[in-house]
Amino acid sequence: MIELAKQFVPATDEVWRLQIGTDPEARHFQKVSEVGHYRRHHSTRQGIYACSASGKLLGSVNTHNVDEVIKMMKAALRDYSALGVAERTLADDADVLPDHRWEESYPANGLNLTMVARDLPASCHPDDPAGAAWNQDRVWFSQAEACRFLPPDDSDWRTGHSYDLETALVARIVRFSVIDTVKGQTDHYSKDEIAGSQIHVRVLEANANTVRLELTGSSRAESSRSLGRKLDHGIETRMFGRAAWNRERRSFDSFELVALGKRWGRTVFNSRKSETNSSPVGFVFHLTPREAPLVAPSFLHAYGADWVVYPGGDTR
Amino acid sequence: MQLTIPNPAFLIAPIIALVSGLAAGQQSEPVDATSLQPTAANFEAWRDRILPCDDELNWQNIPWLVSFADGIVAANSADKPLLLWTMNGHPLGCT
Repeated sequence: MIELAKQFVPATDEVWRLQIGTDPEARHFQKVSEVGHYRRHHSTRQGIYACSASGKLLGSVNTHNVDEVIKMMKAALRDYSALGVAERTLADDADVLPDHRWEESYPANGLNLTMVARDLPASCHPDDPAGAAWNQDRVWFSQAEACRFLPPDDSDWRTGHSYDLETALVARIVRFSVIDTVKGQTDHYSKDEIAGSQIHVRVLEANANTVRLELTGSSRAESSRSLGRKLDHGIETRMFGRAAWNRERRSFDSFELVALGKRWGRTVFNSRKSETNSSPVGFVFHLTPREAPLVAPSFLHAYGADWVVYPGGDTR
Repeated sequence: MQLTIPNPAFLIAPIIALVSGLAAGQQSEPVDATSLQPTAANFEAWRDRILPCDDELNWQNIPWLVSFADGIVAANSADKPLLLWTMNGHPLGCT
C-alpha cells in the first residue's frame, strides 16, 4: 500500500472543519465528498478519498479493510489516467486555500509537546503487555509560558530549590491532555473539574548552560457530562518527569513526563461504551521532534491563551 | 486510535502483545491502578511501554501532507491524483 500511495499525493486533514466550512478549501472538499461514499446520507464525511486537483472524485471508502482501500486506489489511478487536462488540474483562477488554520498559532519558540496515551496492563506492571490502542495529541506553550516552568527569579535556579508549577500550566496539561482519548476523541475538562491537580518541580542541577528539573505530581479530573449528555467519566494519575532548560536559548532541550493512573466512565465519542469500569491508563509527554508534521492540539481553541489566533484573525 | 487506513501495527499488535507476554512469563494478576506510581526508577520502563514502537508507526512512512489544500496544490503541480485521509480529529494528531 505504501508503494501504491507513491502514485498519489497523500494528504490528511480534520474532516469537520472541511465538511461544514464555507471557505474555499472547505467548498472544494465538499465538491468531492458530497458525491463520495457517504454523500448526504450520513452526519460525517470521514474516510479515504481519491480525487483530482480539480475536485473530480475518483473513489472513496471508509473501512479498515486494506483490500478495499487498495481496490479503490487502483481504480482511481485508472480513472485518473483517462481524465482530460481540465478535469485533472485546477483552473487558473481557482482558490482552494483556507481562511484560517489553527496551525497558524504555532508558538515557534515555545514548548511543543507530543502526548501519547495508551491502556496499561491490568497487572499495572510495565513488563506486561499494554493495550494495542493508543492515541496522540500535541500540547503547546508559548515561549513566555515555557519560561514559567522555571522560577521567576533566577537566583532560585539552584540545586534543591523546589516549587509548585503555576496552576495555569498544570491546567494546560491536565484539562486538555490527561484525558481518555486512547480509543477515540473525548472531551476536555473545565478548570473546576481538575481541582487539586498539581505538579511540583525540583531543581536537580543548575549550571551556566542548563537547569535540570524533576517534576512530580498528581491529577484528578471528573465530570458528569459529555456534550450535553449525562455521562460520568474521570481520570486520576500520578506523574513523574524530567526536563532540561537551555538558559541561552530559553527553551527546553529535553522534556519527558509520565502520568500513570486510572480512567473510568465514558464520553460520547471515546469508544468506552462497554468499558466504563475503571482501568489503568498511561501517558507520556515528550518534545515533539522537529521533523514531525505541524498539527495543532485538539483543544487549542479552548486554551484561552492570548497567542492563539482564532478565525477572523482575533486573539483572546 | 481510530485508524481508517489499515495500519499494519494495529493488525499485528495482538501478536506483539502475545509474544511480549510469553517472553515476560505469565502475566500478573490485575491490581488497583491507584497503586501506579511513576518514579525515577521505573519511569523509563513505563515510557517505553506507552510510546508506540516502530511497527506501530509504519503508516507515518507515507509522506502525508497535513492539509487538504496542501494536497490539492501539490497534486496539481505533480499531475497526480490526491489520496486524502480525513477523520474527526486530524489523523496525524488526535482522532
